[in-house]
Amino acid sequence: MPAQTDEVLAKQLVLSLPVPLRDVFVLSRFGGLTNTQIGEQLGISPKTVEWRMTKALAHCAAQLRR
Amino acid sequence: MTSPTVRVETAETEAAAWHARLGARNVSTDTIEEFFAWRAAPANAEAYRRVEKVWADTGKVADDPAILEALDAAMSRKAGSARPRAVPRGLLGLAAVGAAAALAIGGWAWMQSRTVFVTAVGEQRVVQLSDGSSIRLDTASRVRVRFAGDQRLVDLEHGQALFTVAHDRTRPFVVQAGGTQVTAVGTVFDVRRDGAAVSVTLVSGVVDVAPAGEGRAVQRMAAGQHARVSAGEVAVRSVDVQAETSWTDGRIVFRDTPLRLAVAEVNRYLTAKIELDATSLDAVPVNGVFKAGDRDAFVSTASQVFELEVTPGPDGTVRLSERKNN
Repeated sequence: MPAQTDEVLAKQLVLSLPVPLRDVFVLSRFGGLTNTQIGEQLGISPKTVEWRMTKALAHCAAQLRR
Repeated sequence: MTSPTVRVETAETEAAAWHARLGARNVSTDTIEEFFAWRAAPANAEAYRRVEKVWADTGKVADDPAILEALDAAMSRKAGSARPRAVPRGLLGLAAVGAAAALAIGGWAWMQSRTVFVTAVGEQRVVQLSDGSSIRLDTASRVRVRFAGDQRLVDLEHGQALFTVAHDRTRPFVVQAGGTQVTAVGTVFDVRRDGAAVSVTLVSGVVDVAPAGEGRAVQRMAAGQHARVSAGEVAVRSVDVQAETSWTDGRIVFRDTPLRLAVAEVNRYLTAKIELDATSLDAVPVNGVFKAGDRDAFVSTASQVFELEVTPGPDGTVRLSERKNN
């Protein structure tokens, strides 16, 4: 079941992110919030949201390299 | 998952930034050209593929209890005013969700037993076949899969699909679109039906295109070529493969596309369509990149650039017409 394994891995990657990155990622990916809304929610600037989102995605993508 | 953590490479950070940048409502042609240039480096293409995979795979775990818990935790960091899930997920169907989310592969095992795959207007879907091949279905499309002992047969009943064929010399992969047959061994190609005509774009490998009818010549295509089959004739030319298959990234690319055709293309992804009532502008060239299903972005850009008037029509449609006083 390759699809199953991919899903489990994806979930683990998200949950193992450092909390500041994880918060931004889940609010964007699963909460459907815009960067501005995420910024308001977490008390950070939209620019910081953008940067953390990039870091979160890059981190997960790097883990798929193994 | 196993530890330790793999270090992030520059290509991955850049890929993630591109992913965000391309997710914007409006992406200029310059930006998309820049992206294609960046992605031309194999390491970058690989990094981008991994970012897209993360995006697609995480889309499948949105209802997972542990993920919802993480979302709740994030929502309670501060007594914020924003509410999750109360945010409209796109008034235009999938526009706001984005094509990546819509591409989720639902129930792999379940799919194995099915033979007919259908997408609704505005929907895209990737179908994994038992031989390792995959079919990426575009909006409003339908395929029927029949694997026999010596042949892998797929009927494209309508719409458009990108076929990534697992190599198997003993069992050719044959796509039928009306009477037209496209035969591949291991390759990536796109087939689209437009009324009676069929278009084939070859991304990599080799395919043979056979038009309907007795004794018609079979045309062998090379990568980067586009064949249009109409009335039993095959016309082959070179194309920009990235642009022709841009729908697989959830976006539509226009390069000097006549406005009338651009509107028709945008409409393929919409249930509430755009009506163009500007005869004198039918042929003006349109350039740009739009997210498939994002009607508002197209309407606002077109109306500004061509000074068109936007009025609501029946059943949620929108009408673009020439301003009376110009």
